[in-house]
Amino acid sequence: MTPAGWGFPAPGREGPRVRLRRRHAWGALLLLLFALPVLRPQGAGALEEAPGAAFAWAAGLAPLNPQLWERVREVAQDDGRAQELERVIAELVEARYAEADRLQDLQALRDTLELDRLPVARVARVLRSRDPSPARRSLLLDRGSEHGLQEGCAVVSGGVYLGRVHVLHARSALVRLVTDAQARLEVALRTTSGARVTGFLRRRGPSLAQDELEVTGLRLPAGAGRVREHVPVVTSNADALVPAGLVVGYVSAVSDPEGDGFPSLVVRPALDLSRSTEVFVLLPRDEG
Amino acid sequence: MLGVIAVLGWLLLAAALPDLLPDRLGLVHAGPDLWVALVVYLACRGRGYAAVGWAVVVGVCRDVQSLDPLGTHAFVLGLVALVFAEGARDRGRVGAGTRAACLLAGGVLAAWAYTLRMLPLGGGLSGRDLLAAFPAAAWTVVAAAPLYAISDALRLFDDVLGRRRHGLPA
Repeated sequence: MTPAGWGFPAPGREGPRVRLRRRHAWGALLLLLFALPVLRPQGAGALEEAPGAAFAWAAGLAPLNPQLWERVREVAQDDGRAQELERVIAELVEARYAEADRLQDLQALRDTLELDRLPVARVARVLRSRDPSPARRSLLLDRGSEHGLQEGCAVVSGGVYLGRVHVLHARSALVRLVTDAQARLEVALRTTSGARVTGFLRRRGPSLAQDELEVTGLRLPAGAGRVREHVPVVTSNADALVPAGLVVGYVSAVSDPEGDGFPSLVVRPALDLSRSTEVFVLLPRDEG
Repeated sequence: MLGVIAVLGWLLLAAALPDLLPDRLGLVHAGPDLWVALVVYLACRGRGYAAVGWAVVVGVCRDVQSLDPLGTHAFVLGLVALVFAEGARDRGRVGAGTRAACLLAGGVLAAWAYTLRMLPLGGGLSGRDLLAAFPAAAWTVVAAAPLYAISDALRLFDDVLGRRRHGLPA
């Protein structure tokens, strides 16, 4: 029996014991990584800050982000003075249209909230509208704490509530959409008799592939009527950072099999990410 | 240095890919996963456990860009690399077909490991998601084919993984 037969490495070769230890070391690291999100579900802020900001910065560079290619394609096609003038005119027109769209969105927001004075709104460009993780729903914005954004601020497109700022970097922010599995929001809606009832909105079912929402904890008092389909579901007034009255979605199905006044509502979200190239971040107005 | 740049470029492409996918064919929710593709490539290419460390780094990069807490994808991708890495024994020839099969299996393993991994964090178990892992893995194989060919041809990852495992194209 040679020493190698007892598990000792032959000269110049890596032995089974060493390899076993290495495999165990990697296994131990994986166990640690498995436990990390449970121990620190809020993440490791300091550790994530620098790489998160770096990747967000890279996402803001048009050549590295296909999401932005469409917006700069016309610029890249320019050639010569005439085309330069054409480009400038096109940019001005585009800027006017963008400004008109913003004003229209702000007006819609104002009408929705029925407020004379809006919360302070920051325009932010959407750098990425889908999360790298297939199960999560997020937006990456090109505005961060340097632009006055705060964690928890509501993000809207027109009068439609999209979500709230969840991760904040200096010049970028990650928004948790209302369709994310871990998003919770108190919402309100009107019954057939005009009564205002509230409940909690969250994503429906365990499936990662669907974006339908459901309202739970909704109670219909006697005489409050019932909830009809297609009724708008709006934000409630439970959160200081989320103005009441923003449209979240529309009721697509109502069921109350037991007839106990606690109906289950399925909600179709109102957000449309395909047209959300710019959004508003609502900041609390400093009354002081 | 070339290898590190290639890894970063691959990561940027993987992060941007979901935005490029059309809504048709269910690609939005079960589209190709270039993160797993990179990890399986590294695992098939590298010797020993060299790919596991890189897989954890790739997973951390995915974690910091997504809403998932740190450690979620680092664990999943590290696990995939640990399963498909050469490990202590020489597994012999890893050809393009075997590598594609590894990627298919790796894609399914990653999706299932992620689903199970999210259970303690409030996630749910859905048979639909477990089944959706198969078309997603198949799309991953399709999307990764040109990237694998380019990486092989240019030997992009030789300096981060060391010597090639035999059987792969030069």
